[in-house]
Amino acid sequence: MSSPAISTLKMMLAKDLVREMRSKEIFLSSFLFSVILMAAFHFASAANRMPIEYIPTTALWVCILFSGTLGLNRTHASELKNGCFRALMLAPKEAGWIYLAKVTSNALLLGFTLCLLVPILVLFFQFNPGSALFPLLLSLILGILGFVAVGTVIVAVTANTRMSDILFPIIQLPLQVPVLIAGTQATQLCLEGKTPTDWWQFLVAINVVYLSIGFLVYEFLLEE
Amino acid sequence: MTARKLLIHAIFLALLIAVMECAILWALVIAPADREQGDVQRIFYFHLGSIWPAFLAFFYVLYGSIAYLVTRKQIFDHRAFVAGQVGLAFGSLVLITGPIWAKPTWGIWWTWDARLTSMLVLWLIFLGYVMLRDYIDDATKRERLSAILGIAGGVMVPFVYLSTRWFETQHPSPVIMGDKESGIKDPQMVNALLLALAAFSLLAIYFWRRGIELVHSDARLQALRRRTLDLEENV
Amino acid sequence: MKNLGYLASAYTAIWLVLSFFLAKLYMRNQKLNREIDQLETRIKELESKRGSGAE
Repeated sequence: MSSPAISTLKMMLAKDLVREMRSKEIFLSSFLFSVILMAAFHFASAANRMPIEYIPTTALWVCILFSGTLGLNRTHASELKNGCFRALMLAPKEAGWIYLAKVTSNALLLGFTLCLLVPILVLFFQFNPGSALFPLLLSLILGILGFVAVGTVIVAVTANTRMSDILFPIIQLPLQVPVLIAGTQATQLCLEGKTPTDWWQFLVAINVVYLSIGFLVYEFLLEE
Repeated sequence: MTARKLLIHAIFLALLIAVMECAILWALVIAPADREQGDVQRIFYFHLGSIWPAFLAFFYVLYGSIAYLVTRKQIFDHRAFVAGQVGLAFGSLVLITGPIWAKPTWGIWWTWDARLTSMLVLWLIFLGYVMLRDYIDDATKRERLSAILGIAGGVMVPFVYLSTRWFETQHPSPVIMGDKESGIKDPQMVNALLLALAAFSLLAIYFWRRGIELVHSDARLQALRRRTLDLEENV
Repeated sequence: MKNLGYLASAYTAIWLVLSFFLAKLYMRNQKLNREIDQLETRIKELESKRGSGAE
């Protein structure tokens, strides 16, 4: 590993995390939105008496998908507002490392939100990871990383459009279907006490492919 | 258009029409009706016939997008974009004819079967790809951004395929009746299928060529507009 | 001979979609060519005007 890469990573991470600490923008939008989603889940599934033990996986992944979309949109929008993205374009750093740094910070923010959601899942839906905590964590980390790896590219593409707020979810969500399928399957299998090796491999493959695509392609996104 | 181009165009069109006539004839008249499914099975020839060009077009989007980013030649961007449109049109055919065939055969319009799900997801992905361009105002960014999305979409195709396949093996879909007894068995059925494939592939190529011409004229029009404005200001 | 309605509707749908696509291509092409012709005559006009103005 070359040291400029590490320094880019460090600087970008510090910048993104400090900004989030100050504004708490992502936390507010993603976390509160997720809590509302979970309440909505309860009402929507109570009518047909869906067994409560089936809800956590579904609720968790819908929250990742939608609040993650919201969060990615917010981070990128604030980046554009302060002319920060322009500065990134001009920065004498390799675009690929900027991409990886953005993926890391976005994944950390989403992961943090998710950590806060777990107690709520326990509270609302009697979510009980039990002994499956480690495999569950692995599934979620791989899933979030895959989600963010795709989303970070797409949000930078759609930010240049007239209706980026609407276009981003419309374009991004179909692309997230494989991550969603693999993530929910892995999570559910973990909760049932099995080891979802196949799905982990699948998620690792998506991550490897998408992180390398993003690494190569981000350079073209930072062009003026 | 030069005379030679016009001749090639005419020959191609004649071939397309001839193959299309044969395909319809075979699919509707010559091929025997399926023993179990009856005449509805005749939808299948053109259903399969549209899947093939749709897939080809989607892969071309990936190829053209990469070629554009590497070479920066506008022609690749135009080809990839039109391929996306053509793929979307044939993908729509697949999604329309599928349920119409499924209802009398399976008894339901739709099931979350791997083939159906992956086609739907692909269709949505490429709908986004085609839509994106209309919403980018800055002409200098349009080609670059849509190439990036083309790559992101094209790379996802195998994953969509794999995930829906695996998904299905874990959740058995409703029993598909008549799959063992029926199917393509009669040699005339094979002929009908091959003809439908050929006809729709030719049609897709025809659409694609016309579409590229259209994008070309559009680019030319933009250049002429700029020139006119320029002249009007200076006169 | 059952379910002929499904067969008919499927084939109708196929040809409707295809002709819609073709019609759209054709109409857009017509419109573009018309506009290109207009602009070209306009440019010729302007160029001749400018040529005579400069002399």
